[in-house]
Amino acid sequence: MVMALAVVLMALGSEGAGAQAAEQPSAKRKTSVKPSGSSESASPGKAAKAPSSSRARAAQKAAAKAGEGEKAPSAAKAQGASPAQGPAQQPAAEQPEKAPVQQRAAEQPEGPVPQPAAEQPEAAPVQPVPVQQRAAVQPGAQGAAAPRIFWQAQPPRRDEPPLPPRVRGDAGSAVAVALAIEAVWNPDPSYDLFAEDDVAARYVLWLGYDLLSLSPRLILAAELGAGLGSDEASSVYGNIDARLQTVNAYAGANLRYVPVAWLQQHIRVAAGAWFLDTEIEQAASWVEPRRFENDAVSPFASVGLGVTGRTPTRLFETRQGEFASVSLGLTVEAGYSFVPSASLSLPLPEDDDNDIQTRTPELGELSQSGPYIRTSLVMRF
Amino acid sequence: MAMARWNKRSELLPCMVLVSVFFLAACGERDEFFDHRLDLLAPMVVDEHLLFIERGEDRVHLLDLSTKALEPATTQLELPSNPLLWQPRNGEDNAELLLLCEAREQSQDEEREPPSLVLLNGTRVVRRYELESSFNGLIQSEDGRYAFLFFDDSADAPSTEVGLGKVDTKVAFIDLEASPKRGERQPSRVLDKCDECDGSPNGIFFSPVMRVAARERRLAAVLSDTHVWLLDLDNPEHSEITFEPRPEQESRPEQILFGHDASKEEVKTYVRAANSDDVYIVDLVPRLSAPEGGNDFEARDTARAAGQHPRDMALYKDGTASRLLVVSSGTLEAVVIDPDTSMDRTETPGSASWPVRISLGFAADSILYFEAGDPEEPSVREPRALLYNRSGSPSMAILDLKDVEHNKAENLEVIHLKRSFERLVSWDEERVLLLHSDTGLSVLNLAKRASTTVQTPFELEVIPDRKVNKLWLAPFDQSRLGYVDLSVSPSGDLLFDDGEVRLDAPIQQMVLSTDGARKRVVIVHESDIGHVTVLNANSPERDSAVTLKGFFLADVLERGE
Repeated sequence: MVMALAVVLMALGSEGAGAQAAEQPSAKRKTSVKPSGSSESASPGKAAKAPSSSRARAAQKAAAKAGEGEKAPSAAKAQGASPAQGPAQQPAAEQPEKAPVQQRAAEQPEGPVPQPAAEQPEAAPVQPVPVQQRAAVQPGAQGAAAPRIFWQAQPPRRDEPPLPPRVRGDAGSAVAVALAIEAVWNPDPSYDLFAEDDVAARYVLWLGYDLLSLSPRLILAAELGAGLGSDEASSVYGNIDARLQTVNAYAGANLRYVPVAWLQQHIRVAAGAWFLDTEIEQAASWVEPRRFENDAVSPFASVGLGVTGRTPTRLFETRQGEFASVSLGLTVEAGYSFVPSASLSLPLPEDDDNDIQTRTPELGELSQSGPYIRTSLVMRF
Repeated sequence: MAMARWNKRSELLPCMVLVSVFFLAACGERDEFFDHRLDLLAPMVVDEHLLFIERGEDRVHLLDLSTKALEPATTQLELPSNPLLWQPRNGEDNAELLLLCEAREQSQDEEREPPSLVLLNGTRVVRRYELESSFNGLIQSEDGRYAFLFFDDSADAPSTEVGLGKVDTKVAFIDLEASPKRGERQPSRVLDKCDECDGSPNGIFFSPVMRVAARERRLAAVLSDTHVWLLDLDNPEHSEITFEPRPEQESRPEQILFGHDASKEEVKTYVRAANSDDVYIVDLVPRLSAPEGGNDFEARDTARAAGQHPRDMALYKDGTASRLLVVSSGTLEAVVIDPDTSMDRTETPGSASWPVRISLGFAADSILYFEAGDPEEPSVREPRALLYNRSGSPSMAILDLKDVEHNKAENLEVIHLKRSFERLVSWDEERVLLLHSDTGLSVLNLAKRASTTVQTPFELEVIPDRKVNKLWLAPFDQSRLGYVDLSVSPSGDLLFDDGEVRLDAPIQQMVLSTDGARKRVVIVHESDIGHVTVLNANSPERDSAVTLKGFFLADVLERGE
């Protein structure tokens, strides 16, 4: 049976090689695996042996004589014929079976499609022998001896085309993209002017790239990220609303330890710029000015320890080896952000030579350092 | 098996995402300092500081106006407990403030605080007097030496909510010059009201230092609906003396004057009651023998007829003799009484008859006593009185009091103004301001007996400021501050220069700070974070003005827990 399968594959490969020549894979590195002896795609009952050319012609002739005046057998019956039956002409209703082969070639996915090394074009379907023909053949009934059928090849089932051989893609994932939510804790009393509690949320988008492997389990990666956070307090002193918005951009390094593929630990350090924007608004709408805005820029640094749980390797890999490197993971990191205190004041009104000389006070120092916990949904590929 | 492990891990995903959400939950609440509402009483100036007292809090904010470079920042003083009412201390040029503070009940976080009277200046609490009862009424002596505390049950009195009940049977006197010391008797005197003194006191009057029964002392007279209650402030161990003008009748004493003749060591107290046509003269004479714990003097009273419905009285000296001037609205007359003359009129040739009755032709209810010249002799300063009606009647009169018992109506000059007035303000020794209900004001020169009318552009409240000789015109919700300069020219006339300053925000209130070295006027604008404009009171100009904004938020980030 194995040899028959090999013959079939060789026949198919010769026919489909031209159609698939234009669908070479992309520059992505892939390795192709020749189909092994134990096929994963074909079931024992579906294997069909490709008859020789002379046999096919003989079978066609016999079928043409026996089938005159009789209805062509249904395609289902023809497909259900036992493999021991000899080659027979495919009824007229089953002619389009070639088309599925061509259709299968056209339906190959675009992009990097692994080309099996020894893919054979699919052989022409063997014509089934109608059972009724055998029953109508009686010795001596018509004088002419009907051919004795000892074996009849069974064509492949149309609803179960043979599966292509499995291809292993590159499971290495150097790139990481993540969306994170960061809970920052600021217990300093100065923060209470802008917040109802001591915890603020920040949303971070970060990109990572593995630079080099320091050891088989130790990987050094670079990281770029940006975060956006805001907080708000209302009814300060009864009639004042205060808002605070922070934007930070940073670059960092990540040292990751991978004892097993699905569980990784890391230490991360980062540094960047911290943009602060504050707004104090008086509730009374008839008071001018109603709103005071303030902004500041300062550097910042952070350090954190985390752990990542990710999906098993090749979980999303296709038979063609695609998406082998894709994995999803959840990273939880605890750390501390070091941000210099920002000196805030109420801004002076816009320059207007006609205004009375105005003086506004300093609000004091706003502390922004504090611990954080970051939870990231990471996709690596 | 691989799929089973994966399913188990996928269940962990939502749980681990929730880790961050958990920490987003309220973790540490905002400091309560930021939660309380900034509810302020009307600002006032004390000791060149603009004070904002927080209602319901134990805190006062002070904005320093004494420096050349004004800083937009306030300092805060902690008070013993909730301030209930405040008054500038009399006689101190607004250098000190009296604050009557409520008691504070004991709670889980705070100890009980007794009620107290606090004396503070622009920088600190000077003294604090603990009280035995919760009072909500405060009256000071004119010189600011004494404070009288009582329970005021009138409708517009501040209510004190502390305590299960309010005991209104006590009053208290506090000597504000004495310092309370720990372990020693407080310089205050708490008294039970007299049995006959129902309800809250109608008034209190403080005498000057008088020599009574060979001792220098000051007296306080507390008025109720039926009685006058005399207390010896310098001898608290002495019992009180009560005087009832009309026995068993509700006479409602309204006014008390103290007359003291040092040469004769005679002390007389003059009492006028709303429901009596008489004026009562109470002589305070020494007792021959003072009972133990009792007073060493006693009161002997006589009643003198003073027309119908006497409304005001004034005591003056005509030479060495004391005279009492009374205006009676019911009989449209002024009555001059010689307290040393008996009730019986004595008409003998060449002698005066008392009392002297002078018909005014209009109903006067107020007396302004002054000493000045007249149009014929402007340099001769003699006792005179301006008689007028507080309701603003355009008719008023000037009565020359010297030899009035002989000249009578000849000493009276009636003045008819062109318009009625709403308020009369004594400006200086010779001038009074008459503020009219419509736009404008008049200046009445009492010596020249002539008035000058000034038209002002809009209806407004005039704030006289004699420290800088200006009338300030600060209309509410307008962005212009007006003023009239009433400085005296070299010829002795008022300048009447008017001007105005355009501001950058509407006026909510104007406060004067002209008692100190730097004379400034402060315009308070509406704001939740503090907004004032400070101008030079001597020369108010836009170029020299300074606006301070947001001073309630100064160093707010440093004020937390």
